[in-house]
Amino acid sequence: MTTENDLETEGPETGRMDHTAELVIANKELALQNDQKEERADELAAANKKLLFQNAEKDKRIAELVIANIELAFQNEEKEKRAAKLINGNAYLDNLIGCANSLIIVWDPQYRITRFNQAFESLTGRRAAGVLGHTLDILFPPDQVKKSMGLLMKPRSGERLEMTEIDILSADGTVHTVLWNSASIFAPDGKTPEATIAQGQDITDRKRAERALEESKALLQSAINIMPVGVWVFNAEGKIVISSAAAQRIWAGVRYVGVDQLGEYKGWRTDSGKPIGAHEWAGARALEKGETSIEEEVEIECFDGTHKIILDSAVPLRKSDGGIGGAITINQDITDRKRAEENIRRLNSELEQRVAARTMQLENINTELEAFCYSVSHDLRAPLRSIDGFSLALLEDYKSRLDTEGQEHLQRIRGGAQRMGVLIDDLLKLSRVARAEFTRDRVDLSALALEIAQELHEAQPERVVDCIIEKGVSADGDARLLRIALDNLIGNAWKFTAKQPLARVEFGAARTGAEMVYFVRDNGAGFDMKYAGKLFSAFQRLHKTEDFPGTGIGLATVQRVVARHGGRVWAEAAPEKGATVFFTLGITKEA
Amino acid sequence: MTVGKILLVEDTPDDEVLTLRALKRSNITNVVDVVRDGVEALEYLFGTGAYAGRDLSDPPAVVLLDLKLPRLDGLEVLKRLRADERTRLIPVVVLTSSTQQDDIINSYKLGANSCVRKPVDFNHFAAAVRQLGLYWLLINQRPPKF
Repeated sequence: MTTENDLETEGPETGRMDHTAELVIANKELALQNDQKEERADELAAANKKLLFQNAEKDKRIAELVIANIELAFQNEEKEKRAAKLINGNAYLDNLIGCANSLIIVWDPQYRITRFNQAFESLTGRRAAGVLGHTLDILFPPDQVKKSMGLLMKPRSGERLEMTEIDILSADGTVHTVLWNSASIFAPDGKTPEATIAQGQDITDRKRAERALEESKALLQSAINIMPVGVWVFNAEGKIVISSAAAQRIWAGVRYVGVDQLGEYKGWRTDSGKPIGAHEWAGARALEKGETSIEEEVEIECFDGTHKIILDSAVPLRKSDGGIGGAITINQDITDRKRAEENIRRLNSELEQRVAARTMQLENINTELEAFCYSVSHDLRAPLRSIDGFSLALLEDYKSRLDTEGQEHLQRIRGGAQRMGVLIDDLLKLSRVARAEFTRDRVDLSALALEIAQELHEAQPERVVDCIIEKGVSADGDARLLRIALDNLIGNAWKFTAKQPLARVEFGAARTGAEMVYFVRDNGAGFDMKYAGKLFSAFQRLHKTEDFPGTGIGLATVQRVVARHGGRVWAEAAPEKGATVFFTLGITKEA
Repeated sequence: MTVGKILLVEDTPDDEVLTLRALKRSNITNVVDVVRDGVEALEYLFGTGAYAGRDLSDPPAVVLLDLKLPRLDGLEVLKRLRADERTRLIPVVVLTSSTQQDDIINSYKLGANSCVRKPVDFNHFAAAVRQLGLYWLLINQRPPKF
């Protein structure tokens, strides 16, 4: 073609040249055409040969096709046989799936449930209508759908779901925990998922039991932890496996060691001071010998180096066959209690020492006082006797040589000596009242008062005094002291009514609240109440000696007697209108 | 009055004079021997020391014994007296200024026949001595001699 184009484009330029050239070219062309014809004849001969060969090939292929047909017929037969076999196999699988105890469900790539078995139906109560064709999410409790679907999407990417816990919602709303295994089935290309089959096992009961066990373990631990005592639990191998919060507090830590290493817990018996070896702890003895130990007192060295006193107890834990399956040790921290006891003991002994010292002091003072009183009683009176005795001797033997005034002086000397004698006697009585032993008895005060009144009548028969003694008045007290008090009170009443033409002395009692108030009343000289405060002090007198003799010690003595009974004494009076002295003797049962 | 002697054990000279005066005023004329402390009293009663050789067959009709004495006190004298067979039965009247009850109780415990408190008022004292003299020297039947 390129050549023809070349000739045409050259034509207008070369046409004016001569015709000869055209002929030469035609000859050349013819020669070329002859060559081409010869070439085509060769080609035709070769094509004929090829056709012949092809025909032979065709015959060969026909024969092959015939064979293939025969083979195909045979293969068809085989397929039919295998199809029949497969049908049998599927029935077997159906049975297997249907009767399996495990739950089995099958879903398609769109997560639509295509199949499930009887076990699934029994557990969930779900029937075909509510399940088949639905997506898997209907099987899960609403709050777990997202999580569960996430888990189930894994098999699609080729990953197997193995032993995975997924909760399943039953038709009646109950939830079962199921342990799932699954696998996906792929199309012959090995990539396109066709279905996923999952097999599950209901483990709800097992989970519940596990949870119950966990809860009871937690309960045990918290129960142990709130106990104020330290608790250790040894297992059957003799190893500490549980300890309470208090245990760790007491020991400033805990070592979960076996019985052979118990020596890491350092302790000494408080009674003997002996250190406690690994196998001597109560817990070790419970484990190894089955001993039960109660409150053994032990001084311990805690893990922080401090020392404490504890009570160590232990019991073995028995298995059902009677063998030892562990032990429990209990420690009670009694450090504070021991310290307090020690304090009390020390204080007590100090107190005893102080009481003993004080008692000795008091005994010394008492002894001195005794000696002093003896001396007063004996030595002070002797000179008085001389003064009185020799004054009298003068009066008797030298009367003729003394004028009346001299004799009066001697009489005054004697009077003074005698008054001092009475004063000394009264003072001694007063001190004796304070020191005398005290014995509490039931005392008939009416009888005492009557006796005193009679004595007074006998001593001064010339006096006419109306004594009114209330009958049946009694008190709890010391008979001797009460006699001294009544002696003074009735004696006073007797004395101060001396100038009364119709003298009256009364004794009686009246209850005021819980207290009995006793009284001695007279219609005598009385006194001005503004001096009442002085009444019960020693040596205080409200009357002149010329009018009413006395030492001023009587009412002080009464006051001491009443005080020793835990009572009170007071008086009410008015000048020339009599006086009443009241007294109590502490709380008495009855008058 | 019988011839029995009176032994007065008294260390205070004033009391000795007053006691003798009271006895005299009560017309008690018996011989009164006076010793002035406990040791002397025992020597007198047992015929030892200053009184060695004294005739023990004539014991005093009554011993007037003061309690507060130098050297050996009255209670000790009484105890020794009562412990000895020869003096066990001699009547002893304890004279004391003391108002201590213990003295009175101890005196009786040790075998005193009587206790008399010496009052300040001489008239009372004289009366007491008179009664003592009457009782122990006239009314009381002396134990037979040994």
